[in-house]
Amino acid sequence: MTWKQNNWVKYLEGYCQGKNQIQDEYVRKVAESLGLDEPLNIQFEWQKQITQQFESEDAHGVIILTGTAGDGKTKLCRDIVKQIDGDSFDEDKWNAKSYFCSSERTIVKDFSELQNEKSLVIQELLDVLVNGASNKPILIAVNDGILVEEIDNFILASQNEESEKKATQLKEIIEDKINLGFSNCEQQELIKLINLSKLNAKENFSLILDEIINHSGWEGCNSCEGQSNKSCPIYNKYSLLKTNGNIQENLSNIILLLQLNNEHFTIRELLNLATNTILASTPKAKHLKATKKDTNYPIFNCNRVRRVNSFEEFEYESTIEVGYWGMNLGPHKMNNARPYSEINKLMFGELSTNHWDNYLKKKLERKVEIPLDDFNDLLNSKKATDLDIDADLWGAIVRRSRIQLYCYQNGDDKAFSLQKFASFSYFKSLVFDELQENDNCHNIDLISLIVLALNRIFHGRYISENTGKDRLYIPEKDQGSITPISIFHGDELRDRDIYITKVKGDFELTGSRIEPVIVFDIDRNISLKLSLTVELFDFLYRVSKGSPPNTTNPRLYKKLLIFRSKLASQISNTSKLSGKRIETYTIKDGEFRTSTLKVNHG
Amino acid sequence: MDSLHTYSSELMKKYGIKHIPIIENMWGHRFRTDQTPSIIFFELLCVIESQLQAKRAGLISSIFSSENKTLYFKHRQFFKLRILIYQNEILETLIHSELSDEDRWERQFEYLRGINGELFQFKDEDIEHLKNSFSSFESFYNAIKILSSLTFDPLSNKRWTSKFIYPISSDYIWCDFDNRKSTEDRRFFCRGGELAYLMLCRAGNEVCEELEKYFELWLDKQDNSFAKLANLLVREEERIQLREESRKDLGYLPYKKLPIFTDFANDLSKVLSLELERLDKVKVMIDMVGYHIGNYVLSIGETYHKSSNPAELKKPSYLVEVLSKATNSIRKSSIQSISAQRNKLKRSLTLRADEIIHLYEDVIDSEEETEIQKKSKEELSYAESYLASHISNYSNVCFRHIGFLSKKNTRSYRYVLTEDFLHSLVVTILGNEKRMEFSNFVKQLITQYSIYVDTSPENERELIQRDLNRNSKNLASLLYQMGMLRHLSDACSYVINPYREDSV
Repeated sequence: MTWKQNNWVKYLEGYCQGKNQIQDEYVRKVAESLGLDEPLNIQFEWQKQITQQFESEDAHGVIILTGTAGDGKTKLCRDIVKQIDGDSFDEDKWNAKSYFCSSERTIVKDFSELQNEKSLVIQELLDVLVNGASNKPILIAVNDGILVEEIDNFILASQNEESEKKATQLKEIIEDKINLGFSNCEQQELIKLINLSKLNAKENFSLILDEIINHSGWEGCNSCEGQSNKSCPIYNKYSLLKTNGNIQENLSNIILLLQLNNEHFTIRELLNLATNTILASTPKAKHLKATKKDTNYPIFNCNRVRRVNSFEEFEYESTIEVGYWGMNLGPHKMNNARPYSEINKLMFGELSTNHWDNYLKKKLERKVEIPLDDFNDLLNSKKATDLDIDADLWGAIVRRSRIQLYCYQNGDDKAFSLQKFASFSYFKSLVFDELQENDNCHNIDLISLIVLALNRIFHGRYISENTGKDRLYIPEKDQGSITPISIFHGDELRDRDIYITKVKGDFELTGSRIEPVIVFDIDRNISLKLSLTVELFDFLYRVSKGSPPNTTNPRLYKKLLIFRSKLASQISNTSKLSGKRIETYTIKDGEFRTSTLKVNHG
Repeated sequence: MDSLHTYSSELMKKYGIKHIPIIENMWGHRFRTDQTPSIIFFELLCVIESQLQAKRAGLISSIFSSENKTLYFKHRQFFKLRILIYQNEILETLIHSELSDEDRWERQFEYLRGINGELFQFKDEDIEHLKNSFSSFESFYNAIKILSSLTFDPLSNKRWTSKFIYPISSDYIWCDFDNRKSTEDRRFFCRGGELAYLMLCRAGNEVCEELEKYFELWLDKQDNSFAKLANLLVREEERIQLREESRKDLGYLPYKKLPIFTDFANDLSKVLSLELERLDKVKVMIDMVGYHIGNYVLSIGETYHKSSNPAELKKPSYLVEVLSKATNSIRKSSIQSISAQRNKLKRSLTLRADEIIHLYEDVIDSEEETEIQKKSKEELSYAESYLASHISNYSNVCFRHIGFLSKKNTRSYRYVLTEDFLHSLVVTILGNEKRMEFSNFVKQLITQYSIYVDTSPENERELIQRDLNRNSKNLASLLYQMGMLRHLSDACSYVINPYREDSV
C-alpha cells in the first residue's frame, strides 16, 4: 500500500490559510485547478430565503446586506443573481464589475469598491424614502460602517436641506438596525437590512462541519496506507467526527455560547476553524504538549503525513481540541487571532469543579474515554511527593484532559462548568431553548433571579431572597448613576412587568440567531430593554448567589448603574407616587425595606 | 486690528491689590491653586444664583450678559442647614442615648439656641420649624445623615463654613465664609468662579440665552426628596439685596471675547440640556469647568509667547496617553509638552510685563531712573513668583482634579484619559446622540478639545506610529470596559451613549 495524495485534503488546506485564500472567486479557481468536481458548497437555508425574497414578483424594496468581511455577502449576491438570471448569468461579467444598475433592478455586490457611483446609490436610497416606496428591487452588499460613513460624507457635501434631512433619517435607520437589530424611526420598514453578522454562527458551523465531513472528497483516501492502518492523524480525526455526532454538537455549542455573548463568527472564520480542527498537527507551546513530539508545521497535509517517521504519539498529541482551540498555531494566535482568541477567552480547561476533576481521575468508572487517558496516572499523583513531574507536562495533561472530557461527553448538563460562564447550562435551558419555541419567556424563577440580582446591584446592599425577588426597587431620580448606594426610593416594578424576549429583525430567517433582551415595562407605552448576554446572565446569577457586584464584574456593574439611572428617570416621569412621601431604603431585622421618613409635609 | 485683550490701570484701587497687577492683567483677577474645579463650580453657582435674584428684582436684564460686572445680592449662606450637618456635635450622643424623644428634642433645641454668633444661633422660628417638620427625632437624625452623605470631600479638615454639599438642588448652594470673623472671605472662593462666570457672559448671545434658560430651570424649586429635606430642616432664607454702595465688583477678566468662552458655555449648556441625573450633571460640569479653566490658562501662554499683541487665540494641544504600564513615545512627548507649555507661560509674562508696568507708572514714580528700574524689577519678580505659585501650576491642578493629568507609573505628569474624564467627554461629545462611530469620536476629541490620541499634534516629530495605533486600541478597550463601546467588526466600532441607547 502506498500513501496517496488526496486533492480534497489539499483543497481544505486552503481554508487554513490567510483571508484572501478564502474569497469565493479564489476558492472556485483553486477547486477547478485541483480537478474537484464539487468544491465546498454549503446550502445555507437563509441564503435560499433571501434569494426568494429578492426574486419574488412583488419584491420592490431595498435589501441591504451588511456584515463584516467574510460573512458571505458577495457570495450571496452572486447566488441571488445567478438564481434569477439562470442560464443567462455571465460569470465574467459578474466578476468584472461591482455595480449593476438598470430600470429593473440595482445590485451592488461590494459598496466599498465603488468610486463615483457611491453617491448614485445613496441617492437611489433617498428616493425610496422621499417617494415612500421603491419602484424596483435594490440589493446592496456593504461592510458594517462603510455605508454610514458614505452617507455622512453625502450629508456634509449636500447643499439641499431636504436632501440632508432625508439622508440623516436614512443614516439613523441603518445605524439603528446595524447596532440594535431594529429601528423605531419613521419609514424604517422601507429599508430592510439583513445583517449577516446576526446569523446563527452555531448553525453555520454545524452545516460547515457536516458538509466537510460528508463530502465525497474523502473517498480519495480509500486505499491509502494511512487510512488502512489508521495511522493518518487527518483521517483519524475525520473519522472521529463522522462517527461521534456528540463531539460535533459539543464544539458547536461553544460557538452558541460565544454568539449569545454577542460574538459573531464569519463564514470565513468558521471555515478556518472547521478545517484547522481536522488538519491541525500538534501543540506548538511547550506548556500544552503531552509528549515531546514536535512538528515544524501547524497543519498536516498528505505530503507531510507521508514523510512522518513515527505515528505513535499522534493519537494523543494531534487530537480534536488541538485544532479547535488553535494550540497548533502557537500562543500568540491562540490569544489574538479570531476565532481562537474568543474560544480561548472562555478558559476551558483552566476552570473546573470537584465533580469534573474526580470524574476525570476515575477513568474506570467513566463512560467516556479520552485520548489522554494514557496519562491518567499523572492526574492521580500528588505533585508534592512526585518531585520529578514536569510542571508543564502536568499542566498540559490537566488542561487538555478537561477539554477533551468536554468534547467527548454526551449531553452532560454540567459540562459548561469547565469554562468561565458556568451558568450557561441554566441560561441555555431557561432562556435560549425557551425563545427558540416562543417569542417571550416569563419563567418566574428566572425573573426572580434577575430581580434579586438587580436589587443587590442597584442598592449596594446584600438584600435577602425574602425581600428582593418579587419586585424591583427603583430609586428616585437624581441620585447619580455612579453612586453605589441609593438613598431615596422612587417606585417599584413588579416581576410581572419584567420578561424576556428576543430582538426581531426585518426578516425571520432560518438561521437567525436569537438575541435575548430583558424588557422592563414601565407603563403601557414605555419600556426599557437590557441585552441579556451570557456574560450578563452569569453576572446576575452569581450576584443572586451572593457574589459582590462591584468586584465580580466591574464593567457590567457600572453599566447596570447607568441602566438604573435610566430606569429612575423613566419612573419619575410616570410614577403616581412622586411628590407624596419621602421614602428611603433600610435594612431592618436583616430585611431590605422601604421606610417612610416620618415628616410633616404641611 | 482689535486687540484680544484689554489692560486696566484701575485694578489696584478696585481690588485693593498691593503689587502692580501684571498677572491680573494677563490672566485675570484671579486664580489660586487652592481653588480646585469643584470649588470654582460651587462659587460659579453662587454667582449665578445671585444674578438670578438680581434679574428677578429687575436690576439686570439677563443673567449672562457681557455688561454684568457687579453682584447685587449677598450670596446664599444657609448657616442653619450647615450647622445642622457639620456643627451639630450633640446629635450622635442624643440618638444613641436612652432619652425619650421629648428629652432628645429639648436637648437638641437647647444646643442650637446656645450656639455663639448672631448669624448662627437658632431663633424661636427656626426651632418651631423643626418641631413642625419632624414627628420623630429618628427621622430628624436620618434626614441629617442623608444630607451629610452628599458632602464634597468629607475627609478634609476644612473649617465647617468651607464645607459644601454637591449642589444637586439650589437649596445646597452656599458661599465660603470665615466663621471666626463672621464675614465672607476669599480662602476658597478666590474669584475663580467669578472669572468662570465672566467667561460665560462673554460667550456670545445665542449660547448665553440658552445657558440662561437651562440654569434658570436648574435653580428653580425642585420637588425631589433632597429639596424636601432641606425645606424640612430650615426655613427659606431671605435673599438680601446689597445697598448700592455695598455692591461688589466681580473679578477682572482681560478678554472681551474669546472662542474658548463660547466652547465653555456650549459644553455647560449641552450638559444641562441632557436627560441625566442631577448628580451626574454636576460631575460632568465640574469636569468641564476644570478642563476649560485649565485650557484658558494655557491658551494665553500659547497665544502670547511670541507676540504681545496677537491677532487670534491659539489653543494648546494635548497628546494623551490612555493609561498603560509600559512607557512609550507618547508618554515622553506628553511629559515634554507640559514643560513646553509652562515655558510659554513664562515667556508670555516676559513679553507683556513692561507694557502693563507702564500703565502703573504712578505707582513706581520716582525721580531716580535707577529707582524706577529697581521697582520695576521688583514688581516683575513678584509677578514671576505669583506665576510660579498660582498660574504655572494651575492648569495642572485643574487637570489633575478631573483625571486629565496623572503621574501614575511615571515620575512626571503627563496628559491621560482616565475613566472618569472619558465618561464626561463621551457625555459632552455625544450629547443627545445615541452613538457615534469610533473614528469620528476620536476626531471630535481633536476638534472640540484638542485631545490627540492616534495622531500627532503638529509639532510632534518624535512619535512612533505604532505607539499611536496602540493608544487608539487602548482607548477602544477602555471605552469597552466602561460599557460605552460596541464592536461590530474589526473595522467598525461605535461609541454608545448608554443614557440614550435603546438597548444597553
